[in-house]
Amino acid sequence: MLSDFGTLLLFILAAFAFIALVLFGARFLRPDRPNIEKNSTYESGEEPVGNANIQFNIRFYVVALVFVLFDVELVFLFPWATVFGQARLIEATGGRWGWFALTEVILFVVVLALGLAYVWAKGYLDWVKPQPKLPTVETKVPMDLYKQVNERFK
Amino acid sequence: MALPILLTKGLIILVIFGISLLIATYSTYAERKVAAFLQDRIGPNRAGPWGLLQPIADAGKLFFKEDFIPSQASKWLFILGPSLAMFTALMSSAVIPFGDSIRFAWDNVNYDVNVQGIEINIGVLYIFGVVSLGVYGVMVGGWASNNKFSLLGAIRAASQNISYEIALGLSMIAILMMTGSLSVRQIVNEQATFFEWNVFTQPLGFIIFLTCSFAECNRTPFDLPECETELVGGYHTEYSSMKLGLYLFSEYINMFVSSAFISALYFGGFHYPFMNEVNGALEKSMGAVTGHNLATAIGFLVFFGKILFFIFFFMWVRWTLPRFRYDQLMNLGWKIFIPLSILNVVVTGAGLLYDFKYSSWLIVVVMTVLAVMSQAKAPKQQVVPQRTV
Amino acid sequence: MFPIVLLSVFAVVLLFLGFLKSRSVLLPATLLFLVAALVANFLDWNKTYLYFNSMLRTDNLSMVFTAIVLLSSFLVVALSGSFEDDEAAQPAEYYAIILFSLVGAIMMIGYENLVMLFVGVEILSVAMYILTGSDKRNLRSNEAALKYFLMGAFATGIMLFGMALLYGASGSFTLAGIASYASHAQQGLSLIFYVGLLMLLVGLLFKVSAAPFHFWTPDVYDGAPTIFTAYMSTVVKTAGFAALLHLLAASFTYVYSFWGIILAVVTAITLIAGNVTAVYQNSFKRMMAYSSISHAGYLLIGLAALSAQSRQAIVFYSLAYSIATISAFGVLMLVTRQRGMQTLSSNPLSNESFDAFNGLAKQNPLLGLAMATSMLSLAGIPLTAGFWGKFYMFSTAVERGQIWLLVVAVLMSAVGIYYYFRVIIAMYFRDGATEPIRISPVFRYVLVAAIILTIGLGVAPGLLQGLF
Repeated sequence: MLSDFGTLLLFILAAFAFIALVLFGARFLRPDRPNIEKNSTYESGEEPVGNANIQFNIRFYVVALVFVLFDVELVFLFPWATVFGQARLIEATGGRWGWFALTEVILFVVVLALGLAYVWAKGYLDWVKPQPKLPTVETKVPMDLYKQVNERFK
Repeated sequence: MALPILLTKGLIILVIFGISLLIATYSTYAERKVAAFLQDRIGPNRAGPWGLLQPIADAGKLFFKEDFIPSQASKWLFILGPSLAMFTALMSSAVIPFGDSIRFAWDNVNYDVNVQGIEINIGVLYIFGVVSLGVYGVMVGGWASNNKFSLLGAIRAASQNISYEIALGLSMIAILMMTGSLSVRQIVNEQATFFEWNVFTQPLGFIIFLTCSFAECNRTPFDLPECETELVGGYHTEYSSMKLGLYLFSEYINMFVSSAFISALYFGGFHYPFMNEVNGALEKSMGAVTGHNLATAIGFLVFFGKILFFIFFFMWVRWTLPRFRYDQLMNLGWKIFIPLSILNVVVTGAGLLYDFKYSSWLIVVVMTVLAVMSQAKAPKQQVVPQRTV
Repeated sequence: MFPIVLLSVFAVVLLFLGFLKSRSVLLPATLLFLVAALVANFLDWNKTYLYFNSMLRTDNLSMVFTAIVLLSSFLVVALSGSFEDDEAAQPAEYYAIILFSLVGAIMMIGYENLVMLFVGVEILSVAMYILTGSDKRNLRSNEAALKYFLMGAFATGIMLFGMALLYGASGSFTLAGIASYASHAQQGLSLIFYVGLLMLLVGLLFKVSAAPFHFWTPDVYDGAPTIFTAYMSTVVKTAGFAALLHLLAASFTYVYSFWGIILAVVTAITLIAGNVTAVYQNSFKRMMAYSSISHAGYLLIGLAALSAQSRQAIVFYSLAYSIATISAFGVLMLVTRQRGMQTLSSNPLSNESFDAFNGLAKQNPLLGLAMATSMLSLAGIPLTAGFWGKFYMFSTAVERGQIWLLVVAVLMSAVGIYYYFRVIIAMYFRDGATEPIRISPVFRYVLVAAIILTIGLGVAPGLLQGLF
């Protein structure tokens, strides 16, 4: 007898088969005439400069680090969420179970929320904002005219 | 005994794959038609009647295109990237309950077979896991291309997906608390009455879930990983032929799966108002077997109606809203959605202990009032040019 | 148990206190928190409790160890006033990390379950990696942090593997469960059990820097900012030995014949490696690093013998060692800071050599006295706490009949006298261009307290007896 997760394995196998079929099927149909130009890295039509494994903004790492914390929190919340509202447990404890579970999880979440608040206040979540420069223009239009425009479309 | 079961399961898998692929294929067509409609154009109309064969022509084109792997790329990862993306997209539809059950009589005993790939008791966790795997496809592909545009796109994708995954998960937690089960079918069955659809009990969760699924699918306004104005093609700049096809396809399958989950988790799945009455009438008039199957078919169609609406909604948003800036995207994810969804969990929990399911509205009302007030206070913007004096 | 909860809360509070404009709140707040934890620690005095489904236990022994750890960190924090002047320092984070690491240390002291031991070790170690690298502009500090992290991660991995093997053999993570499995030693135990015990010991011996797992110690102690070196060499060591003692005494007494001889050999190697290498050092800080290895050796004597007196001996020794080390590092901090300001020399190494102490005692009698007392105590000269510490340790070895180990230890203490006296000679008998060093009041109190404690315990060692 096939268990539910056995069916899942079938799913995985079928997905593999489909992908292999598509990739190999295309292989027999398409032309294959590579040359140096085609195989070079695309950099807007220019000669590619250097390697692409470059340094990038450190903030991506910070986001990833904070994410790990919260993802683990989520993993802990999933089992909690399923037992939180269970009528059997609430009845067995005379209604105290729900409040107990809620308080516990609030404590747990608040600790992590404090972490988020700390990261936030330290400015690790702030990304570089573009600072648009308003163009300065030489114009003969008098300032009053702009005021009139602003007045009219207020 | 084992072989027929295996065959049945195989059939179900094939049907589910077929449905996802069919819908994904025609989503591309629909996308172009919707775009044309919203922009007052005609859209594809040459291949077949109303251009209906267009997706097939597109697929054919992808098959026949030359496929090159850049000489700087790491070959196997380059192939693995799109395969992973497609793989996770295909896997996630396994636990969607498309309909109630099909009944057939065998030796005068009625057997019910669920219209669903697999009914596992951890369905929600399964989706969550598979969806978070989805970022690997993009990340691996973008990194393996060894192209600066691809790398930037991949990093953006990873960072965006993980940022919105937290809020997505937390909004799911609120639903799980109300249901007390991780099975998607059970969540759907809890929403039998119209006013207990989760969209009514969890309005905030719904908004967060919807937005996060946009971000998880890399759809506009969250399509920074592949925004063509900045990054050429983003993570799939170097891809061509069927590998590109897999990436594009997986995006549409993801859209289909997201729509399906929004419908299932928040809009009652295959339930519709007065469903019990209709089912009862059908079973009375046409017999327990045929009537039940007919009722299931109606539910199935209703579910697909909801899914198609949400796919349309995805496209509608795409051709209406401009793209976010990256700092706006991150601010929205970390500074608005995560605190709000944490608050949502707490408020929902407290509400449930008082047997009040609609407590999430409290946050929505308060937030709306705050937003209106701050809008009223904000100074009106004026046109003032900077001038050289 | 109370200290764990309190310290966790206080650490978070400290993190947020860091957002205040003035940094001067942090130091008194931290000291206050530590005192509060110390007081709360003794609420359970003379009672034995199991907490968190028998994950942690408090009894008098664990409370005394906790008190030593808290006292050491109190002294270290009191000496850390220089953060206020340093622009690049982030004192709120440092203090918070110290408090968090204390949580780990207390878990290591009071665990009843190997999982808890692992969690405690990890909390303590990760905090230490960060503190080691906290001087971000200094290349040596960065190198030390990375070295410590890589090696520490391996050691933790080995330790965890050992725990897994012990679980595989005995089917239990609890100390009591493992002990009941080990009690069938007569019938023969699974080989996995012994391998697991060995790996667990390797991991813990790494943390207390016993030879042959000591190679990280000099570089890390040398590279870390001096204040954190003082913290590391006292708190981590005390917690590590408390953990080892608890582990061996609670679970593995039945298989003493297996690990006793191994530990004795490790002890001998540690004593020889630490003391002999320390002789050849020119930097005071490196000498202290090797001296801490050698003291790990002395502490190991009590473990290798594991007799009735061992508990008391280890408690006394770690207290004496902690106080002496902290006051020595405190004086070193003052001296190097003074030198650094005087000469603006680009090579920080020269500030930490023995020559830096030349003629110190003439202009700064208090500093000279504090340094001399702690050196005498570390060398084990009578009338200091260190003497009685060594005395208790050696008597455990005698009780077990490990005479060869005793001979090695006595010889090595003689070697130790040589390099400890180098500092005293430099301070009192050499000439050097030393000006009076300004000592802040907190520093003065700490140094005086350390002198009094060291001498007091040396004169009346019975003060601590019969407490537990």
